[in-house]
Amino acid sequence: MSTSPSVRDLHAQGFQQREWAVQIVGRILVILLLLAAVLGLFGTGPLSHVRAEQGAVSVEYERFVRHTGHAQLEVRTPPPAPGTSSVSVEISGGLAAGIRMEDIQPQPATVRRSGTSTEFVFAAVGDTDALITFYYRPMDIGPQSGTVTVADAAAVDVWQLTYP
Amino acid sequence: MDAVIRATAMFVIIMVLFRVGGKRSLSQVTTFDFVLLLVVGESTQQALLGDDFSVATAAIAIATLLTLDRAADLLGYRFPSIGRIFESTPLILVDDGNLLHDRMKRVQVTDHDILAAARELHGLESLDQVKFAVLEQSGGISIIPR
Repeated sequence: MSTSPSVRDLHAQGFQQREWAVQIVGRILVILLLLAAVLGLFGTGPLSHVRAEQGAVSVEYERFVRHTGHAQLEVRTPPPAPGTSSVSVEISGGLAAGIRMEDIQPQPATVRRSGTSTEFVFAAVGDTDALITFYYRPMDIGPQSGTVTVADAAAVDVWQLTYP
Repeated sequence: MDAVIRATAMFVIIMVLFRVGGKRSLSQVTTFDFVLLLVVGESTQQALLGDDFSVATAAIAIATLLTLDRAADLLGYRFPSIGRIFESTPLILVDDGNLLHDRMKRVQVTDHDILAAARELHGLESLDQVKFAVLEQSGGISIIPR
C-alpha cells in the first residue's frame, strides 16, 4: 500500500477551520483598532485631546503621542501682573526630560534648565492673554508625567503616553 | 539594537496583518494591489529606519528581516504545524469534479477564476474537465485534469 502524499490529503480541514475562526477574530480586532485610532487612541482625536486648567492657566495637549512624532503643547497664560514685563513657563518632570524641543512660538527671551525642569521666560506683550505653543518630539517611550507652571500660578499636571 | 527590534516588530506586525487578511488567489491581485503594496513598503520603511538613513542601519534592518524570514522557513520545515501558522495550507476548491462553493466563497474565488487557471495551465475548455483545483499557499490555483 502506497504512503506517498496525495492531493486528497489536503482534505484534512481542521487547521483551515481554525485558521478561518482566528482570521474572523483578527479582522474584528483590526477594525476595533482602527476605530480606536480614529477616536484618538494613538494620536489626535477626541480620546487624546486634553485641556487641563488651573485657575486662569490652561494647557492643551495630546494625551497619546508617538515616539519621534510631532507633538505640541499649548499654554494659555493670563495677562501678566501690572509692572511685570515677562511671563515664565516652567515644564518639569519626565515631560521635560523625555522630549526634543523643536520650536517655540513665540520665541522665549531666555531658557533656564535646572535638574529635570526647564523654565522659559517670554517678554510680555500688552495686557492680554498669551498663547505659547511648544512644538516637540517625544523621545522616551512609555508614560510621561510632568507639570506646567506659569509664573506663580498653581502647576497644571500633564500626563502623556508615548507609543513606540 | 534599536534597528533589530524595529525590524523584528515590523516583521511580526506585517505577518499578523497579512495572515489575518486571509488567502487571496493571484488572479484577484490587481494593479491597485501592487500600488498598495508599494505604499505599505514606504510606510514600513519609516518605522524600520526612523530618522537614521545610514548604510549600517539599513544593512542591519535587511539582515534582520531576511534572517527572520529564513528562520520562519526553517521552523516551518522542521515543525510543519508551525509552518501552517506562518503560511497557511493549500485548499481544495474542486474535489473530484465537484465545486466546493462554501470554500470558494470563503476565499472569494469564482468558478471563472478556476476555469481561467484550467485554460492557462492545461488548455481545458470547461470545468467538467477539472478533477481537482487547489488554491496553493502562494495564491496560485493548481489544476489536476480528469
